[in-house]
Amino acid sequence: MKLLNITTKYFLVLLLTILTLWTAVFYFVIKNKISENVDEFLDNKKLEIIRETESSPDFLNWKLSYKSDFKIEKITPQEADTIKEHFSKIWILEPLENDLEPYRQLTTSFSNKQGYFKLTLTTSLVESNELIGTILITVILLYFVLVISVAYLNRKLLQKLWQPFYSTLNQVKKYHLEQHRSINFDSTNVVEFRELNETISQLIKNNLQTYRNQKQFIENASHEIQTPLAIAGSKAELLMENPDLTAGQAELIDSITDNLNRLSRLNKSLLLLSKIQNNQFPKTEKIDVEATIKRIFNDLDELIAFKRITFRLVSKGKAVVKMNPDLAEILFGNLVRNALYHNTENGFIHLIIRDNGIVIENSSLPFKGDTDHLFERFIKNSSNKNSYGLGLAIVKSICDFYHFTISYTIKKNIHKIILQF
Amino acid sequence: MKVLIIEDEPEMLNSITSYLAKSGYVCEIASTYDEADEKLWLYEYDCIILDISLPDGSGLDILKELKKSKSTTGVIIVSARNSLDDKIKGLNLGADDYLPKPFHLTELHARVNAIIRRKQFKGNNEIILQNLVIDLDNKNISVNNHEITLTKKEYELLLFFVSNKNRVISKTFLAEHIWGDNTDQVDSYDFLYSQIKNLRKKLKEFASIYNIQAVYGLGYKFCLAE
Repeated sequence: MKLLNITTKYFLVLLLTILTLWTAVFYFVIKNKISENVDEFLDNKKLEIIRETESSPDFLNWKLSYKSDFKIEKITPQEADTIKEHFSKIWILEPLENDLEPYRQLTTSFSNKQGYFKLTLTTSLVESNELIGTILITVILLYFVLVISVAYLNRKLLQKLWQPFYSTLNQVKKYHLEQHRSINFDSTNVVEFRELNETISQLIKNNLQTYRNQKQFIENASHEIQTPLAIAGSKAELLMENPDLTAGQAELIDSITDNLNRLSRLNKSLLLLSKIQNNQFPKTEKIDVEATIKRIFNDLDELIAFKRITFRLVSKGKAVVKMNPDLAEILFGNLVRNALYHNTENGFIHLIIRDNGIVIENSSLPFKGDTDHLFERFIKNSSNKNSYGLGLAIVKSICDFYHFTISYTIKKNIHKIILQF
Repeated sequence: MKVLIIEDEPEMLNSITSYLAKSGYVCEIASTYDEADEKLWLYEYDCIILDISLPDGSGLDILKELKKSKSTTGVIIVSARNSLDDKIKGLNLGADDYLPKPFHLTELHARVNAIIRRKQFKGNNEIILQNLVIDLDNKNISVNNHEITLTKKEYELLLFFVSNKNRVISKTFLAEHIWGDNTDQVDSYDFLYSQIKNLRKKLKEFASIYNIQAVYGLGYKFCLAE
């Protein structure tokens, strides 16, 4: 989950909870206050009427005005005892609108010199209900406007605040050490981000230095090894030309040459492996896999004919892969040569090209050894002269570099390599 | 034919000089940038073997100077750095060939030969060895005026032999020359033997005076047939 979304999520949960609570409390408090106000009004009115009854004895005639809001009835003392002052809500039919409307009613009793009386006071709740309704709508409206605008502003603000971070992240993502450049981060006045950028810059600088040193070391090591190798080889070649060589000496020289050659090939392969692992092949092109493989086979066709191997290429798709052209040549070359060298006389090589990969099947001699160790042969192991050796180790390392998957199976002396881009 | 060998490793310099001298090349040597610069200023050479890493400068700078003066001298870059950058840079600057170290003297010899041939026989690109004629442009081979047909690999082998005539060539080098150095396992000697057998038979058919001879324990030699 993105940081922005997490922050927005927490913020929204908090905001919604608080605002909902606040809105509810506010609504109920206001509603209560209004009800209290109505009751207070009725209570005041009651006191006023009772006071009036003391000064004007014909108060019973006020009945006429009952319609307005109160009614006085004469009652017995027993009845007066049963009446407890209380408020109630009633519905009265409004004849004009033929509609029931809510009223608040206060029922109470009082006594004076003339006896006991029941007093009923009524007031319409329409207005206060309308008021409460208006308040409710306003509060809900305010609630939504507040939530939306705060959430939106918060998101915008966060986006703006984190922008330097994302810009840094993007630059670091795109960064490759082998491009030999440092990153120029956008300047920011947020201290944390500035520190982050400075730290990353320093880290990259250190890594770049290490990388260069390593590259330098590999080149130097190669130079140091190749020179004595070249000298030794050249001396053996000069010795070869000696006309007085005996057969035994010639064989010794041949063996020296052969081994020097293996050593130098091994050195080259190891160098290549470390170069691949050091990402020193940054240049990429679109490689037409079929054309590359055909070219490789073309170069080997006489050898294929010599071994009487049947070669069949089935094209089931157009495989185009973006990779370094030299590495492509090495990858497919090693796979094809592997299929050829470990083949038998009158054997076969079947190659299937698909949109997203290739399959190579070839006949071979019975496989001696533990099939569980097949994949281990992909790792550096060249002690055995006839092993799959560094050829497939290089294949594996190129595959790893480009995140291709490669699998290897043997069934009834048929080797099968599946490569997926 | 004069060859200048620019190389800072004295042992290597020795080997190259004595190998090429046997083929009749006049070899001059330079082991530093300054020395090479001076010699190139004073004399003309048919071919230069140029090591990129010199103690007092880069071989690539020598190449730049040389190309500035519109020299037609052939240049082979040899480098132990084995880096693609060097190869591309060198060839872009106008070098004729690039040979990564360690190389076989046989291979170097063949390349020097090829460069000098290219520079000297403009238009008429033929190699004539007694009654054996190789037309390099059309890849036609004739022995005693009889055209013979060779396969691709046989042709490559013949050229390599011709470029190293009278020299002992190890079978390892032959295999490597034909299959290139990307090969992890050069175990195709059987194939090599059959190719050489075929080639020898084809040359013999019309009595080529030069032919391939086996050298016991070592490899082969292209020389006057016995």
